[in-house]
Amino acid sequence: MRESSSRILEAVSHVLERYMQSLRAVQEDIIERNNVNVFGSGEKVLMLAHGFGCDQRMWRFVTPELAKRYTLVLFDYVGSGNSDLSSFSIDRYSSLHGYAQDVVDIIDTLELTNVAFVGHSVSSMIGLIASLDRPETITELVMVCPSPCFLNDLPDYEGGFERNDLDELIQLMDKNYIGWADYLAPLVMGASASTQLVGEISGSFCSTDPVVAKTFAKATFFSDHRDLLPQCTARTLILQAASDALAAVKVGEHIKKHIAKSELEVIQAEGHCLHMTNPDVTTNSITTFIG
Amino acid sequence: MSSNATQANSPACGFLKLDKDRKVISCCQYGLDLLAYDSLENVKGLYFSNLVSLASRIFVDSYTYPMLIADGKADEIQLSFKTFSGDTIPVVANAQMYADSTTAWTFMSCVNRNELYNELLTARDTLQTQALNLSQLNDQIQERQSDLQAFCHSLSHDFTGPLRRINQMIDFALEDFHAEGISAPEPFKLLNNAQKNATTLLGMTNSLVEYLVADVPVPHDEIVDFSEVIADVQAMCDREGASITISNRSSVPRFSGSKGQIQVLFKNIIENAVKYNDNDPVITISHTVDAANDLLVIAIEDNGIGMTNDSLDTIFTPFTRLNCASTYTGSGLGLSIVKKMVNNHKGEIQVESTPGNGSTFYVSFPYKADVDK
Repeated sequence: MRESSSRILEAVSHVLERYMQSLRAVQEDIIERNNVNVFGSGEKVLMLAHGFGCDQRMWRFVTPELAKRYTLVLFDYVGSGNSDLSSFSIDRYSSLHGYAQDVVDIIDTLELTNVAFVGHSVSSMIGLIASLDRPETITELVMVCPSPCFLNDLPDYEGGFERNDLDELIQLMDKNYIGWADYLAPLVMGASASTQLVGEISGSFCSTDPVVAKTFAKATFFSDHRDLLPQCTARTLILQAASDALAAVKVGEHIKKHIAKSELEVIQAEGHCLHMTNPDVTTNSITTFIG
Repeated sequence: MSSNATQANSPACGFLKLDKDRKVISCCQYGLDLLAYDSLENVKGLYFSNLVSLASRIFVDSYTYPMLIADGKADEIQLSFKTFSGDTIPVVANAQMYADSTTAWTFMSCVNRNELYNELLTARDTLQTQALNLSQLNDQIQERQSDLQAFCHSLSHDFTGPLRRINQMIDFALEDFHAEGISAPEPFKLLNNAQKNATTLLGMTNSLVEYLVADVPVPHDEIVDFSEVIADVQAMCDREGASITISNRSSVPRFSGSKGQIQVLFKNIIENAVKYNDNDPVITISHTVDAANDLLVIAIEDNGIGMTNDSLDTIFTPFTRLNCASTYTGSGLGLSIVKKMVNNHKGEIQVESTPGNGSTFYVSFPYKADVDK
């Protein structure tokens, strides 16, 4: 009797061991897939999420200071930076929910708790979507130059852009990629392959695969997630530049109005990358807010 | 000297300097002209974002400035400038950022380059659509091919099996009649007729399979030894009592193709030559190499009944029977199979014929001398 129960135990532990192995493999996949980097120290976890255009290296001017107080989790969305391009799919990443799933995957894999999510630009909304999925985990949101909708919806809402402007943006991206990337590669490899890989692209850290970038651009600039703002329960800090051609202060005010526990801080600066152009002010605002 | 100085003052490209807040500090005359501003004073202090289109603003904020901050420079950026009067002008720009976060921009108008890019993008989009359509068509073809293969399989097994068994049953019945000493001519005649019809149906089914199988892709890169093909066909002719002559047999070159299909192709032509013949069949096969056009032309001449010019147009159409079915049996598929197989080899087939004086079929295949080595 004892012998058989020990045999059962052995079998169960064997199954568990295999399960753990496959779980570890999935976890390693996510870490590699999203090029996740964890450093710094502190109880509080700060997830720093890059916006449309570049990758996690955009945070490098604020990370030295933040790492002294917090555990930092940096990552690249699938398709950006040094993520695994082969994991990209147009279906998944045509909406911000696909990117939010990347965030949730990382939270689950690292078993993170007590997370403040700091998102730049479109990542502010991606963070908000992720926070609706994991409200217990993501307790604070810091939105750096956010916009829930770039399109005008006059007279009630001024996103700043008409559809024509954004169509022109997609064209402009195309024209710039001709000079940057292995532009015709996806075509040469066939329509189906273009959703998968595109290999190394030389040049600056901002140059990326055209198919990926345009998918991200469309998900970013053609989406409207204003309806999600009132659902947000996380404490939220909105950092807006006084002069930002992409996200005007008015947009920040709209967000503040619709998120219950939110505060808006307007920083006297020009541009859409406060964390790069004004790293000290940005760092101070984040630490003051999070504590 | 003075003319050089003038040229240096108005180069054919623009220069713009921005302070760390991206406000214009200076702009050269080319830039002012391009942007349609009267004087530097009117541009000074303007934000760069006011000098470009809305789309360019997003691009500059999402890509160019991050690149400048990270790498110090950004090259060959396509942007659209917005002029004082509200027009947009495509420009290509190089930008540099200095330690004090000021930036220097050189740029030039690129209307033609922009047009070229637009054309390139349109061509790319068209190609992408076509590639997608092609791949969908290809999927459909693959599906049909596999349906066709399944159908041929069914035809050659499920149809011909029962037909053979009918023939066999009739044979048994005839044997039984003989064994029991029944020799009434009438039942025999009916049974013989039934058997003849079953045999015709069997022949037609086999031809139909051949006709359909001709569409199933097969490798066309085998080296075909034509004299081997003819030897097999000759064996068939011997059985049927036809005389076949091959001129300069030893020099018939080898060429690349599908052995199986080439064999069926010549078998069908020669079968026809024997079948539609009221004399003792005499068939002559000869060949020529048309080096100028990289062609091997094989001519098959017979002494058969021949055809009228009108008939020549229809002989390759499936189920075409030119002659009385009771005199000449056949499925009406033989030459259409030949035509398909010739097409499969990117070849051509032509016929010359005179009623009562026989026909000559010319089959040509693409042929490169180096295959025959």
